[in-house]
Amino acid sequence: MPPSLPFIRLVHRNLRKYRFKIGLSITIAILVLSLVSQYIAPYPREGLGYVPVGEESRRLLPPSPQYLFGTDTLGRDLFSRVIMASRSAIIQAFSVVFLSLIIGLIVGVLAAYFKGLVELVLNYLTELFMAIPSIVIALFFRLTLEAGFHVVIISLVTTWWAWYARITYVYAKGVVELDYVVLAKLSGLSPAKIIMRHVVGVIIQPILVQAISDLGSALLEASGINFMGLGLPPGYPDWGVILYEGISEMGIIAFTRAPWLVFYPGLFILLTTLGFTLLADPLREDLDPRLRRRWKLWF
Amino acid sequence: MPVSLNYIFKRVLLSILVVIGVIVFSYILLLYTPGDPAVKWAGNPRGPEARKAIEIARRELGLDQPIHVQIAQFIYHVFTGNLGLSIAYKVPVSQVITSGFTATLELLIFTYLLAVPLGLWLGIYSALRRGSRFDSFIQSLSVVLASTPTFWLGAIIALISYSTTGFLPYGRVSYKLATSTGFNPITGFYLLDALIQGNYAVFLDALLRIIPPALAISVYPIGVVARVSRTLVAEALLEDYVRSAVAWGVRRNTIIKHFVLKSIIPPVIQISGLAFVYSIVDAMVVESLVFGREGLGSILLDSLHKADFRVTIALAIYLTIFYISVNTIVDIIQASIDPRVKI
Amino acid sequence: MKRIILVLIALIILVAVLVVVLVNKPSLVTPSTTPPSKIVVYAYNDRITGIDPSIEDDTGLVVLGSIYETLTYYDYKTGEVKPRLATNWTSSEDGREWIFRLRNDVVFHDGSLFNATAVKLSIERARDIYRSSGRGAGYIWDALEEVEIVDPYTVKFKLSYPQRVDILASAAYASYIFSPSAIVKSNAANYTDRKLEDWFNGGNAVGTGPYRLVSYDPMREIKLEKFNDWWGWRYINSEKAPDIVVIKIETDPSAQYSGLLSGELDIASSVPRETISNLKKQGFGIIPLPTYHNFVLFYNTKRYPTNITDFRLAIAHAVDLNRVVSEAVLGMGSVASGVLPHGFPGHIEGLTYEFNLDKAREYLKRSGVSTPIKIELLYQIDYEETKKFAAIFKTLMSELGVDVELNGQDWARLKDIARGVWENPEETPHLIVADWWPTIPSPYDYLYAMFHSESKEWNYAGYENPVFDELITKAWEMEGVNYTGALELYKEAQLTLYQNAIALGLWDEIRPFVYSQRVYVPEEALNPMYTFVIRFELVEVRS
Repeated sequence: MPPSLPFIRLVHRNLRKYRFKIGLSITIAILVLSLVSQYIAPYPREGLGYVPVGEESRRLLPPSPQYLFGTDTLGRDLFSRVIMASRSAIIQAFSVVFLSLIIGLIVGVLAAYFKGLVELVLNYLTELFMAIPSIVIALFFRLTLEAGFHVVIISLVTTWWAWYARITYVYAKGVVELDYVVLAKLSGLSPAKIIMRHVVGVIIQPILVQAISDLGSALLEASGINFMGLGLPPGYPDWGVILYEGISEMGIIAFTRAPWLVFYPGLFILLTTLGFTLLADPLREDLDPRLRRRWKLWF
Repeated sequence: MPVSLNYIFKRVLLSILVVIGVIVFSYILLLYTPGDPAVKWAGNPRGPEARKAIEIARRELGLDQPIHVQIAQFIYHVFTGNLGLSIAYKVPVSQVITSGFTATLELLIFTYLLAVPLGLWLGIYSALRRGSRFDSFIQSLSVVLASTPTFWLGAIIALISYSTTGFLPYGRVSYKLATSTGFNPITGFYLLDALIQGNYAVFLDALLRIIPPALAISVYPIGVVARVSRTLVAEALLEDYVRSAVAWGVRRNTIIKHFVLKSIIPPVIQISGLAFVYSIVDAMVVESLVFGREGLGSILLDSLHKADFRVTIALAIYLTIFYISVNTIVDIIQASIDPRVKI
Repeated sequence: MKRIILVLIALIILVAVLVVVLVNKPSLVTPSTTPPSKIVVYAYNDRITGIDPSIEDDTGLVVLGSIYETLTYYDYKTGEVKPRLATNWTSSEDGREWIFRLRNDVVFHDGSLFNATAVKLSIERARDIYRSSGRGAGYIWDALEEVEIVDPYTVKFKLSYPQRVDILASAAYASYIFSPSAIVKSNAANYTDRKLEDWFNGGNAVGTGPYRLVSYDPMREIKLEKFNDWWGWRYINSEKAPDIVVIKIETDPSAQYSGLLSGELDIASSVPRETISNLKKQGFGIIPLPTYHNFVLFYNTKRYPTNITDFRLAIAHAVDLNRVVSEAVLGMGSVASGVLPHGFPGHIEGLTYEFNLDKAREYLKRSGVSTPIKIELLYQIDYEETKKFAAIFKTLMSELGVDVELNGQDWARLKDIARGVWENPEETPHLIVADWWPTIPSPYDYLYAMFHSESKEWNYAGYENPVFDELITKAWEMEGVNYTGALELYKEAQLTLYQNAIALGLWDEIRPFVYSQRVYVPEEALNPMYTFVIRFELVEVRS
């Protein structure tokens, strides 16, 4: 039975922890960057994928004061591209986790609350979607839809919601059999009210913490899909796409010819993921040290 | 503790149902992907007789049947392993995907043979020295490595390998070396084949080329195994029987060997099994895009570009079946160890 | 416990030592022993889609071109058609009857004799499979009524309308001669039986070419062996020609590059352009082959605003093709003039739209299209060049106030979307980048496929112009009787396209073939008409 202290207090209590502080600062920094990057980027148009209009070629220039991270195969300023990509990272990580959480929560609670056939069917569906690799879903959606955020988000959500459905189900199962829920049922309270007040209200906190710790995994997975060229369109400011474009022209030669093309976008993925992880780990340990993390799940 | 047959039966039944569900789901998705498979099968026909050719192709593919018949036939084909000819290459689908499967599997098995013992050792070692500098270093390292994109790490490893030694770890084996020494892959696992044939030159070459991608992929299993075994050992050390053994003056090494190691090996195997299936996609991204190795990743992307829907769906389904089988086995092992756990 | 740790440490040290020691000694990495016989490894950049000599119309060419032969051979340098399996030929005055005399000293790889029966069977099979099922490149034999066997070494082609049969017989697809023994070997009932096709694609071949097929794995490698009874060895010094040829599928350009450096590969078809100067420095031979593979930007002429000629012209004048060639193609292409590539029969200069933004703005004003306006560009993502072109194009168009939405797709999907221009043009992108390479050396090949109103598969402009259709049909039939007159008509047709800006020729690819010092590849071994086919009989292996 998870302790039911409010989320704010949980955060507050952890503020003293060193790891938590680092995680929080990285996360806030990336969030702020995603909001202001298009105003502070030296070449915002190039960040959006336009190529420079100058006379001489700026192709593959190494990092310099003028181009902090160097330039890419089309002469675009890599610094602008990389910092503007923080927005796409935030959008993908948060929308995948948030949407999965909502769907998973609903399915999990319903399965736990209404027993019998509903439970059976919902649990089967959960099991089914947990078994499909997200990359396969991405393939199919890439075939059906045009490139864009929706491909990444839909293909990740299709498989991720099942994970939340499963943990919600396990927690909710423990709650619905408790006396006060049974009493509430007997007193004639509507199921919607019972579910919202007595079930979701109680179990939401550990699941929320779980969701925060999954933001990093979501980003890694989304970047993987974009890196394979299955998600966002070429030229879009996104770290996975920038990495993909960096190596698609020359392959492995890119690492030696222009290592900055590969280095910087990867570093930003690493930093952002690290931020989410450091933020969530202390919370999770505090709440329930035995809670299992969705280790960088690909499937 | 023996697990009840009833549980195994239920678990396997559920898995089979899930596999069938996945097949149905993918088949329906496939029907809604644009582009008529019959047109592709007929080879993009032109001219006045094109319509007729497409009709013939439709019949050959069984697309003129009602949907439930199509799906039933498809399920039959999946389980008999006969998925027909690849649309792009006109050779059996199994021929197209088998080599990719063995290549990726070789890479993964190699990775795990290195990663699991290493992770185990790191975990035990840091548990015994909880709070030490080594422990906190390993702890921080595992957090950082868990946040690292595998494909990026692979690129960094390739770059380091190239800039320090001038050797680009590319492909699975040196082609000329393999032909000039008469290397003949039988099982498709090059390392194994080379050893069996006593072809040490090829073995070394293949080893050199498998290590860099394996390093990149191994980061995740090492981290997971180290983390889990550290917790388990720490817990085990607090158990009463271990404490009393310590009180009785039994030597520490004996305690670890006889009590601790025995109790943590099964859950470590289980967690490695889970990690293994997660690593498949890691491998798919790293092997082809970064290290130019043939494997599931290259076949998948290629089938996509060539609209070879038969290969795409076969890969998707066999991957899923593989994943579910590992999961099922792991669940059963887990249930036989600790019947309380259900998640 | 200690023991386990010790073993583990030992293992780790062992691996580490192995890595350090072995990696530092490249002599162990690259083999010091040279292979015994004269092997040439040719890295080709795509997997093989099939090797049925009558049906295959894609990447199978690279294999077919070495193991099969055609009656004639197209010499791209002079534009002449030269004898190959046929020694000479004559045509009737109306161009509807052609008599070919065949070589009488040719055997197939299985020992069976080459004669008129094989010619009749091979050509009619390509035609009949196309006629009955629309598959393959057999459409080039559309006019063929019958191949008549006059005597064992003479055939007569009877046509329903005049044609240049000598040109058709040199085609890159659908004109290969295979042995009738294939039907027996494959247990096929007749030549259109599916069994025969499966037999071919299963890795079997009976051709007359200088190399014969030894093993066939379309995903990985194709092994060929010198065919000692080839009729042509008499004319070519066979001593230095390779005994074994391996066509190795290497889709990754950097793998081709590192393969060349490590001595794994002898000839490469597609190395990263970035590396060419470096390869040159290291002594590799480079043949920059101007190919007939060209890239064309189609306008969707059935949808606003690309249905307005002035708008299309505005776009055409706003594209800086020199910049595209230098930045997207990295210099490995030439700026296109019209839709026929340089050096191809019927190609004319002066069909490049001048890059002039003022002119473009002028046309835009005249078109009445108000900016900013959003249009969609469909392009292929499996070509590095088209991806970069898309980014450059987007920038160039933004100068005009035209906002380009990029839609990158792989080839199969692009084709599905692009031909939608005929059924629902409003849903189909405004601009489509597509590429083409010819089957036969005739302007008709390009002009019919891409712009004839009946070519619903490849005419992505949705262009319907009866005058244009008649012009090229007339020219096609005139080729058989009055070739220069036909070229005049093709010129007129191209001018029509140019003035109405139906499509914008972008660039013609120049493909750098790289070979190591172990071999010598003469320029004659390559021919843009049969791109990627290397005439290995002309390649010399240096000892």
